Amino acid sequence: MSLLFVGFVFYMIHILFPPSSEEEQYSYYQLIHTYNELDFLDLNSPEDRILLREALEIYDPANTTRHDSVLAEIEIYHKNRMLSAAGSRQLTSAIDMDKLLTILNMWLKFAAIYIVVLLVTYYCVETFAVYRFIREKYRLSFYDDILNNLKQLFDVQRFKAKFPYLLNILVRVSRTVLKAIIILVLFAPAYVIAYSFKTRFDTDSFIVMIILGVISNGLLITYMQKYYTFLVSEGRKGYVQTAIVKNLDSRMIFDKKKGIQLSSIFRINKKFPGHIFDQIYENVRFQYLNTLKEQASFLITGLIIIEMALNIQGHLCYELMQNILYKNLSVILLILFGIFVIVKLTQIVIDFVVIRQHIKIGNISSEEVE
Amino acid sequence: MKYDLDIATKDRLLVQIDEFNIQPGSLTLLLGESGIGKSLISKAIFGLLSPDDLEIRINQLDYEEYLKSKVCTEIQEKGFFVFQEPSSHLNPFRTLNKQLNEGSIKDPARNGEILAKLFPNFSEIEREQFLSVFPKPFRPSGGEKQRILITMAFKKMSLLRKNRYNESAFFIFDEPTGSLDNEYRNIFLKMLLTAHEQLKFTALLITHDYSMISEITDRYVKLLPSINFRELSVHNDDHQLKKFSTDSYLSWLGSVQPKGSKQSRYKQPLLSLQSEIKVFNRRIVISTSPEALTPSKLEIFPGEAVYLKAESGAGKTTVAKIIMGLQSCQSFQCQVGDITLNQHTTENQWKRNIWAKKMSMVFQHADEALNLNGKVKDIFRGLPLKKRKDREFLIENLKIVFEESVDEAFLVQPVAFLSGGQKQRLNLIRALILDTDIVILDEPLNGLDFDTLQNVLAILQDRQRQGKSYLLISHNEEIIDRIVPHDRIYYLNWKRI
Amino acid sequence: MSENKKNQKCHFLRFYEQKDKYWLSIWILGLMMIWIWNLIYLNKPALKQLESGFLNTLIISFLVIIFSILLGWSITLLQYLFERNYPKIQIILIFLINIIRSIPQIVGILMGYVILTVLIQQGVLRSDFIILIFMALIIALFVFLEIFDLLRERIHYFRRLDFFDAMRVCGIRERYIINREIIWRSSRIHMVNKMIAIFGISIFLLCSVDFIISVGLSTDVSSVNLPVTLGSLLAKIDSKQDILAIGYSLTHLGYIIRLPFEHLQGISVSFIIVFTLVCMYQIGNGFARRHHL
Repeated sequence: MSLLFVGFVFYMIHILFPPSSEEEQYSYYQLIHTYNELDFLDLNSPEDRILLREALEIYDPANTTRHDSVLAEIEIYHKNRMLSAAGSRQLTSAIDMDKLLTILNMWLKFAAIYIVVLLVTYYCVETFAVYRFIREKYRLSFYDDILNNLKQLFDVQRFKAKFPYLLNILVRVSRTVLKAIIILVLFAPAYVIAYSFKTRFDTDSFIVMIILGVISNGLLITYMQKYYTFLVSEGRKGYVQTAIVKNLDSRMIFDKKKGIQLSSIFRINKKFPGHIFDQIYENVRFQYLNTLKEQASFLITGLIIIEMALNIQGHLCYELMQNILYKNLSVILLILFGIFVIVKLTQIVIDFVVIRQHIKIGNISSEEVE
Repeated sequence: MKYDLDIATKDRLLVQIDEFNIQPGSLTLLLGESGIGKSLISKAIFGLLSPDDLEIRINQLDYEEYLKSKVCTEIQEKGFFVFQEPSSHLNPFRTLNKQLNEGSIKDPARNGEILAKLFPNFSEIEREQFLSVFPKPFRPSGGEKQRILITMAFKKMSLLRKNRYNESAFFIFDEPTGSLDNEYRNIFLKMLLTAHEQLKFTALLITHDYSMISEITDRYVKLLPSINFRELSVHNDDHQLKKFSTDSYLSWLGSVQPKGSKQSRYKQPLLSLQSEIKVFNRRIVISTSPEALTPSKLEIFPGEAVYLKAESGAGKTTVAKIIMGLQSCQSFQCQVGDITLNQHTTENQWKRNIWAKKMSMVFQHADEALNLNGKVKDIFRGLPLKKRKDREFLIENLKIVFEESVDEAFLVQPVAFLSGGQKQRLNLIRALILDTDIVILDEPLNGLDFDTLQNVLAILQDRQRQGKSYLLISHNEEIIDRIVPHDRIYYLNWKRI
Repeated sequence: MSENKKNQKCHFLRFYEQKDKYWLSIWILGLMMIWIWNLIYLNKPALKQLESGFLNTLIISFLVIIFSILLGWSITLLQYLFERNYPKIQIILIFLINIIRSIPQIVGILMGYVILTVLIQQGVLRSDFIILIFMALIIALFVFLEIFDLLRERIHYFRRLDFFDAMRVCGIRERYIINREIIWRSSRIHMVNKMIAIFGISIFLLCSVDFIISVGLSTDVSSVNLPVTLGSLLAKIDSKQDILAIGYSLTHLGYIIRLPFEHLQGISVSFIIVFTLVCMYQIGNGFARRHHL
């Protein structure tokens, strides 16, 4: 229903604010023509445009902003003239079939990247959170680990015997420093990472877009933390204690025979038969589905930032940004609607999965469903 | 089995007890106020607590060492723990059948006999259908879920061999009859005591249901030598396990009499509820006999205590909420003084005329009814009282229910840090202070120890003499039957429409 | 170990275990160190810009928190009022809120900036501080839903318990129960946790939008002079060159030593953004853990 509503609103905006005539397109049309008629001024030349700006600032210093806007629009006006003389589409032209197909193509590309990034991040979030949950059950905290090793280091007299503890401290500190660097990278906004490596690879490539979408903007870490929090809180629930008293395996260690197999954590369809963690994981998978909607929304924000900030031509959000610049309302509305459709479809799919699961565990019969 | 326990969070001490002794091979009934630490101690002994969240020492061992010790491993291998809250202790994503047949109780062959005793009203097909469902909040009922947990315990018990040394098998039952009717409670007791007689395991039964004492002392006299009655109490942060005198309980029970004004019956009733209520596509009928032979209006006169009885899940709390305007229904009719209430009465009318004016209600679970994030002194905030709520007012009224001194430290104590019994008393005084003519009390004796129970009943009977009335809902039938005259007991029955 | 050292260790260990306070002090110390370093090695005009950019970003983020709380709290109460008395209007309100929820935040903020630009061009907004407030309001419009969802969930949670009914039948007014007991007494810790998250989100969104506008929507002449923020600073050509130097130094390791001296502006800006986001994340987690949220 919201798709219909938003579509209707956008359509009404498009009707109420149709593509304007040349006069209407440029709010300072009169002024542009006035300046165009000045013989000594060549507005195609950047130097003359700067001179004009400086002159305007001397005579009307209070309206700097307006002068900037006028000059921006002069530039667009001249570009459009050039394009129309060459028989090309104007920057400020309305939608036609060609434009529609181009935008559709971009939308499909965007949707494809979005789906791949969503699936990859969901897998990574789940896997890392599960790994962290099990590791933290038996691993000492950084502080306790260092303290223990320091204590041993000072207690032991022989130099050779000190070496293992020293090595432990160095390894632990190095691991922590490496972890800090990885966290800084994962939290960095996409444009910071991309600009760091801009000369090394082509930011337009599909793979690079996916990698940037997955590793930047803090997406992985934030949602891995949420998934981990779900696991921790679920691990405290009553049914887990019931499973313990039924003597299901509760050892949180990586071991093939007792505990949890490390390889099972990295599978797509994770199963831990005979272990209490199987029950915890099953519950959390369902509970996380609603957070997945939030993750999807955040992910789309990240992808939009990537395309816009890196000026990736031929991509949907770059096209959106250009049309904002050239005030093509119809194209802006079309692209916005396309993005809205992606978000809404994601929410619908997730809601469908959640409702199906609710029906199953709610003991609701098919007659009751109908 | 001797235990010396210290359990604390990072901020405060929860339990400190030097001698928590359980006689091996015996059945120990553990009584005591709710929230005092009985469940915590038993979970610590069974190895169910997390050393990450709490600082625990048992018999001078750190908890991580205790969990690896032979004692703890043996308890977990051979014993079982039946938890208090059945809803949260069943996995909502697995069917009852699957949960009944996993881990060490995997063998489905042992199910039949145990289930037949605990679910006598189900045929075999009905039982199979029942076990194929997922445990949801209301379907199956709380009592049914509790019986499933009890079934698991008995399945584990069936692995023990008769006439062998089974003292190291430790079975802990934490409020196993909380959601059960007397009928099922008695079935459970019979099964437990029979199994204990044959298998001689060690059992700890934590309960607030004092009527079990009468049941055991009446019907299982021969087994009394192997049954210990103990009470856990706390004094100045020190926990003690004392012997509980069943004789003093039984003699007190014998001495309890109904109180109230004899003239009340000649006055107009304060409340008159029609015998039939329709809610949730059910027809609830009130009558003066358990068989519901004659539907009857429920009437409460000044200075009376009225008792509403029914089996678990029949709708007693629902009826109470309907009378208080908290639950909508298809039809009901009630007269409170000169005010007529029915299914069309608006919320504003309840607010203006009934709540805190004619009637108030004390809810079952003090943990839910009170704001645990507040302090004791906040308890009267927001109440529509005519008197100024200063410190003296607070202390004066709190002393009604708290016999121990009410000092400044107590006033600023967070409600979350109070014991269950203290919370229940706070819950009670908040309603009593409003001085309404009628107070509906839903499980008012929940979580109270024996001394507090006597105190609370004395307060209620005292107010009755002043002309105040009560509608009581309680599964402590044995006690409430004594304080309510026989003709003031009503019964609920229901049928699907 | 001596008694003194044991006590010191305990104090430090206690402080270390309160991860929110620990990371807050790391954040403040980190920012101070960056400022001192820039004071020594960065030229004065660039330092002034950096200081203004940082302060403006901080002010806007704090304003976003305030606006989000005001919006979130008031719309929650409005939704509750409609739910009780005008259910049909409540459906419309939830519908509209869901539409806001479905708009990617960055797109919504970008549209808001377009409106802001028009208002500045028309001379409606002149003062820098008013523009800052407007920028904060735009961001808050797409972020307040965090507070709204939290408060709504808390109210629903307590309404399902006997808590709500127990107070009502004692004559306590509903607005007292909602505002005082549920939101203030029982949920303010949760709200503080959300405020930390909102602070981080607003820095991220603000820097991203300002970067996008400065990079993507500028032409040879800038159309509007918005207050400088860390995002717009990062989009300047000097800063971009500095960030490119990071990638260069990964293949020319010797160049790393020159980064903190010769490419200070860009490195500082990007480091402040990333460092602040990491610290806010850790502070939020530490706070949640300390209060068992």
